[in-house]
Amino acid sequence: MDYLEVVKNYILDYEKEKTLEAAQAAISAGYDPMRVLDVITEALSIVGEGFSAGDLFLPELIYASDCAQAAIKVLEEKITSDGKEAQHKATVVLGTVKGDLHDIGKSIVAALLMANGYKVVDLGTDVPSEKIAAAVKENKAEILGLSALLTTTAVEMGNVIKHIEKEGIRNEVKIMIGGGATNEEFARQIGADQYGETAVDAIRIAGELIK
Amino acid sequence: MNSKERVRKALCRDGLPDRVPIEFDLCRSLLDAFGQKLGIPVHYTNAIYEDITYRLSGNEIRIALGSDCVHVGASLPRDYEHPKDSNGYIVNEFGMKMRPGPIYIEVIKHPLADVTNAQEVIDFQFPDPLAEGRYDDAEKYIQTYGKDYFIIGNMELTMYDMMHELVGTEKLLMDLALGAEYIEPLIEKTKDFALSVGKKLVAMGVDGVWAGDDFGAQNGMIMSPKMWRKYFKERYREVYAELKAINPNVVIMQHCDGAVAPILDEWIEVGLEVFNPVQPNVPGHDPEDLKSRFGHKMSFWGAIDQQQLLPYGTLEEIAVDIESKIKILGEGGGYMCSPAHIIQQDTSMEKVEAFINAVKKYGVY
Repeated sequence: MDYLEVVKNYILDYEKEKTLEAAQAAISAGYDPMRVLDVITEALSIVGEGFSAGDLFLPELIYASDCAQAAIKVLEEKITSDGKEAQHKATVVLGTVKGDLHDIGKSIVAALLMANGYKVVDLGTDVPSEKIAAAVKENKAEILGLSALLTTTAVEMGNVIKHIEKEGIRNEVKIMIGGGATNEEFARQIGADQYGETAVDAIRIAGELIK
Repeated sequence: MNSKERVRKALCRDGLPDRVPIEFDLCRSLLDAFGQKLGIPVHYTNAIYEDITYRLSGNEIRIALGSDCVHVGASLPRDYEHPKDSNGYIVNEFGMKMRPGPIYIEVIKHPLADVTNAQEVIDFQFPDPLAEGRYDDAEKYIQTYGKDYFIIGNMELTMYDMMHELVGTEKLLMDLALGAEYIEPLIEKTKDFALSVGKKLVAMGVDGVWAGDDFGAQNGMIMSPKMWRKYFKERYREVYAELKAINPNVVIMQHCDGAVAPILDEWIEVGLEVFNPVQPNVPGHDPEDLKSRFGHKMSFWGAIDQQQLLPYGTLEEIAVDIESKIKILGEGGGYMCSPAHIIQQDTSMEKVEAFINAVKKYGVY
């Protein structure tokens, strides 16, 4: 049985329990966890492209990322139990800014980043700028991702960046922003490094930022 | 021609009104500011759900400014106040904990956040839609303004919106995709609650009933047309039919944010008569396209951008857009001009007035 195909297909069928079982079976059968991670990434990319094309919708995207995150935890536990440390491309701190409770987009970005080999520290929603700055410092994050859905809360992103500057760590972290209330021009205005229109964009952008 | 006649003629596409009717909702700070400017006290109607409060409140201010509509709905029961916690966060009658955000009060705790089975939904207590005093304000407004103004009865959070505030959006969308066992009983329960409100308002004599569920987002639908069809299409047929059974002349007005052109044909098929808010600048909502595809079988209410244009546009840009929307969507009637949502605090009073004046200037037939 090709467990890699099985894992991928269960994510595409939004079968969370079966994805978990298949990921565990793949590990038990001796598959390299990194290879399993690769097919998770492939599955999420297919779903992401379907969403961008308007063929798939938010429920499918949320569910696929939920399946993926569950499977990734299994893989990371295996890596740790082998006495190894999961190799990550970079550490990304994610947060929805203070005053904003929206997190669906950020959760999908988190899943995509994890599947693509990033260590993700998700601070959740309504996060004060001090907490974001502290998390970036503590985790030595190479990338900070900020999300906001409301025009009135997006301005808080500028405060986060000022706080990061005040902490003296602006040169150590690249900042990408996203969410319905943001755009390229806004990113430029507040001094962010990049803007991503979709969750799938975040992967490409993260790759560019760590080069 | 008074406001009531103007709106009815426009929305029923029953000949041309004298001009395109106007409607708008204002956030708290704008209601307060205009109340002060006009010397009119703002009457706030605390509604069953906070968003609806801004639909129902400040009718006197809005008609003084030029609105052709008066809004009524289900308020809190007489002498009832929301309990508050130590942070001042309220818990509404549905058990949703709500915190004031920059614009709205937002749900921060969903009472059915952990729901898994049908029995939990069956056991979950909804408030009484016909509790004593809920319709005191509605009665007062219908009596005072019913002769001259088009009375809109609010029954928003009809099904899906109530469900996602009860459960949480992410979990609900996953569970809709999975067909979780609690989904069907929960849709029925929310529908029955909303229908009780809607039927009461129709019986009281409203001119139009405003149902509301947001199936669209900025770039497309939140759920697939297939999912909408599976869970909501026939239920909307049932809802509209029950309202029409009480008054066949009540106008069926449907609020749905976001890009929802893919389901409009079917929604009209089950009884939608007026589409609101015709969110601008989203895929599938080109005004010319919408008018040519649907204008002979549906009327439009909305279409003015309050995300970018009203807060950040110049007065000239606002006037140009309104003139254009009226020309396209109002051709031959069938259009009530309004912003696509509650005008937020990032829009100046000057621009609110500019919007109203532009409709009056360019909307004459």
